[in-house]
Amino acid sequence: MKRSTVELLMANIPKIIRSRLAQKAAEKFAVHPDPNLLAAFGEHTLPPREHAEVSAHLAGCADCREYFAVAFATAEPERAAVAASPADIPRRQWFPAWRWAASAAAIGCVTAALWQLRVKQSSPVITNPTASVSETRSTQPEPPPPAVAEMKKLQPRAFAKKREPQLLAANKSSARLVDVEPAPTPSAIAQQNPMVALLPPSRQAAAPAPMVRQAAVQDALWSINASPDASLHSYGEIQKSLDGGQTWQTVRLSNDVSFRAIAAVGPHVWAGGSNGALFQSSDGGSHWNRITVAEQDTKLTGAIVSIDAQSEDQLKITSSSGEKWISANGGRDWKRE
Amino acid sequence: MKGAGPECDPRYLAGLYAKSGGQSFGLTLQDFAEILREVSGRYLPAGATQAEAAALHHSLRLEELALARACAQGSEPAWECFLTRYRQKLYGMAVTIARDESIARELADSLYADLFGTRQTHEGRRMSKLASYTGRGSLEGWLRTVLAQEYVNQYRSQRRLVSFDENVDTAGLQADGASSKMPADARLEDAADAALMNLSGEERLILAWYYLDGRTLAEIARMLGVHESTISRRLDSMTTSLRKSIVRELRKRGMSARETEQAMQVDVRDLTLDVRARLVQEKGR
Repeated sequence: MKRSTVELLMANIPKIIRSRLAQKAAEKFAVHPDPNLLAAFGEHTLPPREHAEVSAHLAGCADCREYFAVAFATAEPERAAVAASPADIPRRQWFPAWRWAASAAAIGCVTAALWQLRVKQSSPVITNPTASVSETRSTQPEPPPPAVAEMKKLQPRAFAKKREPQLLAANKSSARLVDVEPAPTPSAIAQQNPMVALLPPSRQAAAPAPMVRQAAVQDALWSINASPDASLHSYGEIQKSLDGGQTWQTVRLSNDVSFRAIAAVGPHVWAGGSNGALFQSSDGGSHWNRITVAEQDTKLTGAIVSIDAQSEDQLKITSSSGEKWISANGGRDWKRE
Repeated sequence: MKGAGPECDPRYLAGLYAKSGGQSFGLTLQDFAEILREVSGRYLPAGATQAEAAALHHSLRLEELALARACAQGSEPAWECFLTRYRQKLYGMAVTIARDESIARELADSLYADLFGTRQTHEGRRMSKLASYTGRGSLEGWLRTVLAQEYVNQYRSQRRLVSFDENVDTAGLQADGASSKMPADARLEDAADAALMNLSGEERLILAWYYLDGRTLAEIARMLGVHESTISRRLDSMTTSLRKSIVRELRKRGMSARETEQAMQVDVRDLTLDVRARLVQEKGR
């Protein structure tokens, strides 16, 4: 039989399977793998014998397949967090990063060589080298060598140090967002997450910092569920501290919104949460307005999970559904990115 | 329970206990030994050797196991640690699974109640769902799976409450589907059975995900921890070899080459191969 006929036949078989599926009820198994085994299967840590057993069960059991797929088909971000210690990280995870580094280095070397060649070819004859160099330096800043620039461009994400925008200390009269290197010391983590302070010192370093950023403005710190009591809630509350995070007051804006993100620039504060709710204050939190994030007929969907305030006008928010919205006038008008 | 597993050497047990950090959560060595015995009993076959038991113990997430079981016993330090590590994650997982803020909150709260234990034993001890964690996978993976089960079960119970009109429509569609169905050739069914029997459990699972559940290559790849192109290649080779197998089996059953090709063409046009039933039968054999 010709290959084309084979391909045609095989391409049609799934149609038959699907039509049959619609008419046949799934058979029921007496015994199913427990969530422990399914979790281990999803994390690829089962020994071969058990892996084969669970695979065979899942192949025949639609119920378990559905449970497993709901849990693990879209589980990449959280699953990466499972490997918390360096020892848990499989070797293959760091290999791709170095692979790109090698490529970047190779391209960088070639570019540097070409640059050197070009400089040699195009350099004018300098009668007074000192004067020429000083003139060049005074007119414009010296650009980085292209090789370095290329390296920076090609530098893979894994190599770049994570530079989260953090806010300046609370005693600044007007806070602004700056890039600072995070220093995850236990005391800093404990300051960000008061629940950590309750842990023994030996365990504080291992405790994660909260995902929600604190926002400082005019001696005030803003956060979501920062106090020990609030950190037990499954919903998010806005909290404000006027004593550098020693004590926190809850700011109640809405009973039906679970807040997920907060940001502040000067006296301007923005807080977002469930159902696309976004609140804004221009006076350090004394008065709040609810803002609708929409563009013509399109409205933001999902919950607001991050707010990036570059200035009091430049805002960027991200929703749980992956949408990114930007505003250039402090939240009055929005555009979907 | 398969068996209790072989008895552990006290020094070996003490080493595992120290590794688990259970002491900081108020878990005693005796508690820990009992937990290991229970886990071994659940997963090891009767008469398992010391080496098999050691392999199982070393594969366990001992620290997370100690944490979960200490929480189940009501240890305050354990609960503080659990909440610090997993509160935010649990909520995030619920949002990923439910894709709806309010449902996710309900789901996470409901699981919290189960984890904490709202029911009590005759002795007055709380029955926490965390007591069923055995450390085979990560605690986070276990929480995710339990959340998924809870979500699917809730969704299914709501799906049963469809309106009468919807029921009538569905019934009509099913009747139409049934009337268009033609009886399958028994020899073709047998040949498909034999062909599927030659596949491994994982291969049948990939087929089921792709053809029965309509999962994408990316989803299957993510679930199996391989690259998308690997799944694509495996599906290609499986479908090709499946067809060759079916043809071979049909020939074994006395069909001529022409009859075989006709049967396959008829199969494509009209017949319904109950692959799911065959996949289920494979498991039973």
